[in-house]
Amino acid sequence: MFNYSVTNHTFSPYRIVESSNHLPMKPKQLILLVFMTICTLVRAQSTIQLSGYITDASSNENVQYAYIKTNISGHGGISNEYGFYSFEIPANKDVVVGFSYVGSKTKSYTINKSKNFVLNVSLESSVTSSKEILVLGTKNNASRQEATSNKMSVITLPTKNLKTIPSIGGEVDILKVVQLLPGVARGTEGGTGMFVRGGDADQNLVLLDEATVYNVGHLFGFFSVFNPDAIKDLTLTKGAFPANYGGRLSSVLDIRMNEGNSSGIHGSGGIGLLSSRLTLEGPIVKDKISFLISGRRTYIDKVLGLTGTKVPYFFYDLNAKINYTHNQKNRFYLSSYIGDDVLKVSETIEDDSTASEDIFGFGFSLKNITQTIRWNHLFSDKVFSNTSLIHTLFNYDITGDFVGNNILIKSQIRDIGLKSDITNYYSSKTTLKYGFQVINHNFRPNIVSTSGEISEFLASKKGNLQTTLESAIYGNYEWRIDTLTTISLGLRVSSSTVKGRIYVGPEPRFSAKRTIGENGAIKASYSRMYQYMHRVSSSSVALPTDLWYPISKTIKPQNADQIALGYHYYWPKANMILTAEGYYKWMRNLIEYKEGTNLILNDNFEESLIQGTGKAYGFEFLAKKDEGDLNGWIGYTLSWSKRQFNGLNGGKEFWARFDRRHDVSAVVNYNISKRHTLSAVWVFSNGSRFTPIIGQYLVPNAALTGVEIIPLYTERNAISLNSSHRLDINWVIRNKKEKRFKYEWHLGGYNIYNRATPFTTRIVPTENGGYKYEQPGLFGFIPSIAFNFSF
Amino acid sequence: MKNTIILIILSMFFSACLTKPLEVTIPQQEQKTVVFSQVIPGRIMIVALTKSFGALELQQDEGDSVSTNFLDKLLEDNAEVTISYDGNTDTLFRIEKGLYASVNTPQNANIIYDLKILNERGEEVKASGYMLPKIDFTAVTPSIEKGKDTTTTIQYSFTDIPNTDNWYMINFYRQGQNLQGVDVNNIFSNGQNNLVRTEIISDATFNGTYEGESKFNGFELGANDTIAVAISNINEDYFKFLDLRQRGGNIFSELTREPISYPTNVKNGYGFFNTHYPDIKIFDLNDY
Repeated sequence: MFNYSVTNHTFSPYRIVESSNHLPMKPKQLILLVFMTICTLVRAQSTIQLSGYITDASSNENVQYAYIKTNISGHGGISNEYGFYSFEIPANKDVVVGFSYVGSKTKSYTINKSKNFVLNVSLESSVTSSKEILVLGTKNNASRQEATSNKMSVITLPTKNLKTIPSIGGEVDILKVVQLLPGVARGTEGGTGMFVRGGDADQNLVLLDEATVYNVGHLFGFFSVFNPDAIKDLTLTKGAFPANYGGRLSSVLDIRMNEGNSSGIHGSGGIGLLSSRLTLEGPIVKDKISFLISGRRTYIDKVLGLTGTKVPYFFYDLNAKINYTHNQKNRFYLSSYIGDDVLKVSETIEDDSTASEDIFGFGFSLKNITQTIRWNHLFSDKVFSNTSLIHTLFNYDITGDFVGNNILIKSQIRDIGLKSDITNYYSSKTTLKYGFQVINHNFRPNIVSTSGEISEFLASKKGNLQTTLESAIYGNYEWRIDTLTTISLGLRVSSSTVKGRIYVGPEPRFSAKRTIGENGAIKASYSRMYQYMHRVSSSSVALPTDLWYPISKTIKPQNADQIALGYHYYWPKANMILTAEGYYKWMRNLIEYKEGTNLILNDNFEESLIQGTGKAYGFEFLAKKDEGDLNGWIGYTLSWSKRQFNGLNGGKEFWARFDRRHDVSAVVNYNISKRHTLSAVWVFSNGSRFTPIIGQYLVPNAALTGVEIIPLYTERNAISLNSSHRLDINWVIRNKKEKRFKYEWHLGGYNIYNRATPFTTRIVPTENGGYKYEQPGLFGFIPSIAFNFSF
Repeated sequence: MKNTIILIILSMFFSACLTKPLEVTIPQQEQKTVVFSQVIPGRIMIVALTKSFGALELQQDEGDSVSTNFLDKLLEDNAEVTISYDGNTDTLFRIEKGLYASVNTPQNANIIYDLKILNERGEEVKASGYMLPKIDFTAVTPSIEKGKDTTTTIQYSFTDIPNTDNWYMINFYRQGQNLQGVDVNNIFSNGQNNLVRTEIISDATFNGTYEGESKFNGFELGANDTIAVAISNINEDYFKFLDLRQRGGNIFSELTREPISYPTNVKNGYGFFNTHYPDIKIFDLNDY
């Protein structure tokens, strides 16, 4: 095979024409060649396979979901999650191939080849200067191709485009950014909870380099565990799920870590109000092996410690990755993440009666660990495979010590998984992707170890170990029927083996796209999803200590059907994508808890679980401008989400807690000059729902010897909290000179006009001795300052 | 430099603002009659009537307690109360404000008692109660460990009533003076009968004979106390009510404020019209 890499070329368009090979041939050889040629498929004569990897010129990292378009109708494609692309083009004919990606300059090549051809492409960033962005923005057709591609209900956000977005503490939180997308309802203010298309918080599969992250929040969920310096991009899929995705009903958030810059040693970092970060990356062997290591830690405990103030809490994250390119056909990646929340309180209390000192201690540790080994292998120019070995651990420990009494409560979930995908770019019209996935889940909740007098009341126990095997096989067939129409047919058959039962879930998937005009496309999809585990938590309070539990012999897997219909349009004049999608989702076997269930230290609460149904429907609109001095997006969601459980609300249908009728998010970045960028976020949403006490009555106790007060509630989730809106801003000031060491100051403010975003309703005394309802907010105006640098 | 950083961080935190809570109006539940009743074996059927009240009228969280004046406002006075059974209707007489009784109504198992109330606002409130067969203890035995920490253990047993689904309530009392029932003059004043604990048992959790053991510390039952143990065969709805009360009273539910909808068998009102018939055993712990 003739391989020709033009990665380092800087001019455009390129012209690559294979020179004729005039080797002398004997007559017999010539006859044989003619015979073989006749025996070859006609298609093979007329087309060749163009394939390769697309990388970022500045870092040599792979670029996923870059668009490739040719001047031949019906020929083109998208790079996969690992930056690989492959498609057919006509042989022996000038074919102009353009590669584009959001935030990158489009590269074009004219290719005239007679044999399969490998073309590795390196895309340069377009974000070099303010004026240049404006010009290049009109040239870049990535937005047009995104609008007319067959992708639906999917949004990919490169982290580098998000770093100016304002946030609490001055450090962008990628989960908070995801909450600004249409179709994603926020949970409690400041939290990382997501409710996608009317689903529940535990129906989102969050993957970091393919490993499941069970606890995505630090500091009781107010900050995500994802260090933005270590993250390359994220892709949120809300519907039209490809067959390789499964395991949760409502969304898949696929987060990819940076691979490590293989062209040279680089570093970046930042000092914010809450934490500081440092990232180093570079080649170990140039263009062969690269590494990335990134750390983040809160330091308020250390800083205030200097003043003598004890802050017994900190969290840290450590991301590391090694990327090894063995050859064009084999690439290996090893990535790892470890994060921990640590609280440790220790006080000495003097006991006057015994003239002794007692030690009071309390602490917890919430630890996430993920490890992924991936192997990308090219069987041929048409056949790409990825095999991943994945390990995930989530562990929490709570400790307490008081006067000789000690308690340790521990819960753990550990996954070991293997998955393998093969993508066969069979022809210019068809792509077949198939594979399998196996995950062994080990759940060990509520291990209790006690000593001292407390052990008489709370006995030590090993916890109820539960092991399940979750597996799936899947296939996805994409067929470009004509130049305008593409359909995708998929089937995933998943299963979960639990004690005493095997559940099997057939999950059909379908999506279709028809291009309308040059810039628009109408899209439709259907998908069924199964979920074999659920998070046990109170509906009012979501804590990092919430436990994940598998389905069981009696608790059936949740499943959902979703249909969606949308129109995507690229507006050339504004270089903007306009997206409108409607969806309807039916959910079955949803899980809730019987009223009054006590979940604390309860590892046998199956009898407290009840299952019911839900439905959600709505409309989403997104106007997104990825490039230009003025960029960002405006999202609007109109949605309804309902639940029905026989054991709740008298069996009557009720609103889901985070049913928010209207939700608007506007994210605007404005590059005032090369040195200054102003960013703003404005959000509006209807309040979440709750069940207030609206009356009371007295009852005698069971023996008529006293009275108790019984509260009277409305129907479940009958009342909405007040609507809320908030403005955050961030002003980025960069250093003057284009030196190797670059730095920028971030000056910002959260909730600029200090308006409450209600998170609860409470009853408080009035001045005249009565009572009233009020809805407090959690965060008022919070100024922030951060210093970021890179070299 | 250190001081500068500290100064910046502290000034940031101090300049952060608290938001002003938003005031809201939430429509209150309309006032309804609340029913509770008790059968004093062989003597009397008592019905206590109160009125529900708004969530903003009393707040235990703010330290409010049920004062005599407040309670007096809630008592449902001047109501016409009747109990019908087997084609007969008895009108209950008013003992005092909010308390109505019948001494003539026979207390027979397997009879449906229909309660009808016409309150002073002209509203009609109804409830039906089925008097379940009486359940008796087969044995109740207290034992006491005296020492620094006195522990009283009460072992008891009873045999499930066969061929039906049953729910049982066991009450433990201390220092009562009217242990055959209730001091009708102090029905709401937490008078002399102190209910120490209520246990509820469904016959779905055992077969045949139930043998139970309850331990009480010195704060609950003292070495010199007179105690009583009562068992009643109660209906499923009341069992669920008590079950929810027990769950709703724990620290966790107070913390999370999970809504609990309590069941009622009263139409156009709240509470329970109970007709369960207790078996009571009395012990003087000085004898053990």
